[in-house]
Amino acid sequence: MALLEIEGLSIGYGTRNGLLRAVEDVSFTLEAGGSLGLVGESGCGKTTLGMALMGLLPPNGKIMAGKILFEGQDLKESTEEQWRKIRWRKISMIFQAAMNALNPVHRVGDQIAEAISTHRPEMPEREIMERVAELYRLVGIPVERIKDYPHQYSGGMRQRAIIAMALACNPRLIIADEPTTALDVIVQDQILKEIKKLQEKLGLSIIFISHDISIVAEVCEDIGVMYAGQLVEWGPKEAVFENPVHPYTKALLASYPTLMGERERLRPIPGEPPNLVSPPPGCRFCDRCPSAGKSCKSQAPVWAQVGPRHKALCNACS
Amino acid sequence: MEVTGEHIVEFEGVTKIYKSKASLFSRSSEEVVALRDLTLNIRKGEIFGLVGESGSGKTTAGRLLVKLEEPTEGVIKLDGTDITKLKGGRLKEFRRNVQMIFQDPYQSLNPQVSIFEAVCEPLVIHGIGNSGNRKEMVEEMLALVGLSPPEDFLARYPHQLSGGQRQRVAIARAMILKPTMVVADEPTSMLDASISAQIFNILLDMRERFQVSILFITHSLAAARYLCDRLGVIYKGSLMELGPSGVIIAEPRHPYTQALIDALPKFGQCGSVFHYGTLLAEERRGIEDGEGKGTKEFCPFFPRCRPARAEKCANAMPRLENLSPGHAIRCFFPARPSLQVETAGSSKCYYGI
Repeated sequence: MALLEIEGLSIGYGTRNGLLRAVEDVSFTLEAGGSLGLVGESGCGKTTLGMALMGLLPPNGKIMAGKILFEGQDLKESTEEQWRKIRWRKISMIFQAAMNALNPVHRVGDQIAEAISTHRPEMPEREIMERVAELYRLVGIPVERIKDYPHQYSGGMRQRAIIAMALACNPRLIIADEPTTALDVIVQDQILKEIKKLQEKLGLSIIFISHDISIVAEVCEDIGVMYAGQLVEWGPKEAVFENPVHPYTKALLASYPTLMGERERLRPIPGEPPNLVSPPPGCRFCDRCPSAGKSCKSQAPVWAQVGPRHKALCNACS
Repeated sequence: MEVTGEHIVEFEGVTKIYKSKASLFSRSSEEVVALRDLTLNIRKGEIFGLVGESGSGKTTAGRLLVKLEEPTEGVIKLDGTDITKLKGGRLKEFRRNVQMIFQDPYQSLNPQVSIFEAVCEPLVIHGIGNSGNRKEMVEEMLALVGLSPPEDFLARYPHQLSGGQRQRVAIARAMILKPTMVVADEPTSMLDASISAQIFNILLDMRERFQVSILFITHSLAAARYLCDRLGVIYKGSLMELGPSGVIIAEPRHPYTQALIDALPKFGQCGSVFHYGTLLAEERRGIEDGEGKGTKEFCPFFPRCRPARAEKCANAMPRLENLSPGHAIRCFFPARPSLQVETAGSSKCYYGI
C-alpha cells in the first residue's frame, strides 16, 4: 500500500468574485520512502495542496471532492482533534522563510523542545533535551548552540533548526514548501543536500514544493508538474526531464539556461495563466500552447499514459 | 549592438563603510566594511554582472552608482565625470541618465498610482514632452516591455498586475527617460523562472534598442552568464574575480567562483559536470574573532577555502591581479587552468536562475 494516495482532489476558495478552483482533480501516489517534487508557477495550486495535506487550509478554503488517503485512512474526514494527532507526528512541514518561523525571544533549543513536549506530554524533560541534542547532531548544528537565540544563528542554521523541528516527532511524511527561498546559493545547496541525506537515512517520504525545477531536481525522484490548479505531467525525474511530454513542461524547461555551449536565447512562455474563478472548459494551457489542436479549447483533456510510470494530461500528446 | 572599448562607468578604489550607532546592547559603535577598494569599469553598451551572496556588497555598489549612497573613499565616474561632486543642474541631468530597477516589484511601485502616472512621472519631473505627446510616449514604452495592448494597462493599478507585469512597468519607468546607464538589482529574484526569462529578454532588447549600459546585480551565475558580457564576482566586499562571462564560467580560477558554480542547482544530463570541491564543509574558526580583530589582514575567503594555505592566506590580503588580459583574480594560489577538466558535454544540463 502506498503511504499517500491522492484521488481526484479538488480544493476551492470562496472569494468575492465566486469560487476559485485552486486545485482540480489531482491524483497521484507516493510510496513510503519516496520523494515527489511539485513544480509550477505561482498560483498553480501547489501550496494549497501542501496545506490541505497538513489540514491547514485557510477558513475560506474547502476540499470540494476527492480523497487524501494517508496510510489507508482518508484525512479529509478528520476532525480537528484527529488532525492534532497527525500533524507533526505523522506529517510535518518545513516552512519557507526560515528568518521568520522561529520566535525571536525564545532559545532555539527550547522551541524545538516545546514542539516535542506538546505532542509527547508524557516524556520527561531530560529525555526531551536529549532528543533535541540528537536532532541537532542529525541536521548538523553544533550541539553547544542549543541555548542560543535565533538572531545568533545564520540563515542556514535557522533553516536547519526548522528542519530539526519538522523531524522532532519522527514523522513519516515531510512537506517542504520552498524551504530554501531567501537563502544564498551555497547555503541553499548545503540545505538541499542535508534534506536528501536525511530523507535517505530516515526513510522519510517527502513532498517538495517549489517554483524552481532545478531545486526540486536536486532532492526528488519523481516530478509532478502543476499548471492552473491541475497536475499536468507526472513521472520519474529522468523521464520528465529527458522526454517531457506536456507542452507546458516543455515550455517550462526551455526557460532555464545552460552554462556550456552556445548562449541560446531563452524561450519564455508567452501570456498568462487563466483565471481560476471561471477556467476555460477545455485544456487550461491551450491559449499558450504552441501545439494546440482545434478541439483542445472545448474538450477537457484526459490522461495520456506515455510510460509505465509517466503520464500527461493532454489530448494532443498521445 | 556592439560593445565599445569606451568606459561609461569607472569605479576607482571605492570603499563604503557603514557605522552602526552605539545602542542599548552595544556601547561601542561598530564599522561594517560593505565594499572595499572596488575598482572596475563598465563599457558603453555592455551588460556587466556583479555576482555575490547576500552581504557581499553587490547591492551597495549599485546604490553608490545611482547616488542613493555616497562612498566613504574613492571616486565613481560616469562618462568621465566624478559623480560624487555633482550639484544642481548637473545632478538633475545625472538623475535622468542613470536609472535603477529594484528587486521587488511588489514594493517599488506606489499602490495608489496608476500605471500611466507611474511611467509618465519621470517625464513630468524632467520636463520632457507635453501633456499631448506624453501619453503616446508612455504607450510606446509599455508596448516595448511587452505590456500590450498598452491602452489596457494605462488605467490599471499595481495590485491588478502579476509580479512579472509589475516588473515590466518598473523597467518602462526606468527606460522612458532613455538613460545611458541602468542598475538592475536582482530584478527577477521574486519571480518564477519563465517570468525571469521574459524579463532577461526584455533587458537584452532594451540594450539592443537604446544602447543602454546595464549593471546587473545577481546571486546567480547562471543568470549572469545568460545576460552579461563581463562578470565581477564579489565576496564580503572584495572583488574576487573579474572577466568575460564565458571565461569565468568555463574556466573559473578563484576557489570562491568555483564554489559558487558547484552550488548552482541544476537538472537534466548533469552527470559529466565537473565538481571543483573548493568549499570547506566546516569553516575555519578563530581568525575573525581572534587577536587583533578588525586590524589583521587576510583573504576574506580563507575561512571557507579548501585549497588555502594558512601561512599566506591568513596573513595578508591578496591583490586583484591579471591572469590574462581582461581576466583578473584576487588569490595567492590561482587554480591552474589544467585543473579544469572536461566540463563540456553538459550542454543538456540546465541551471536554476
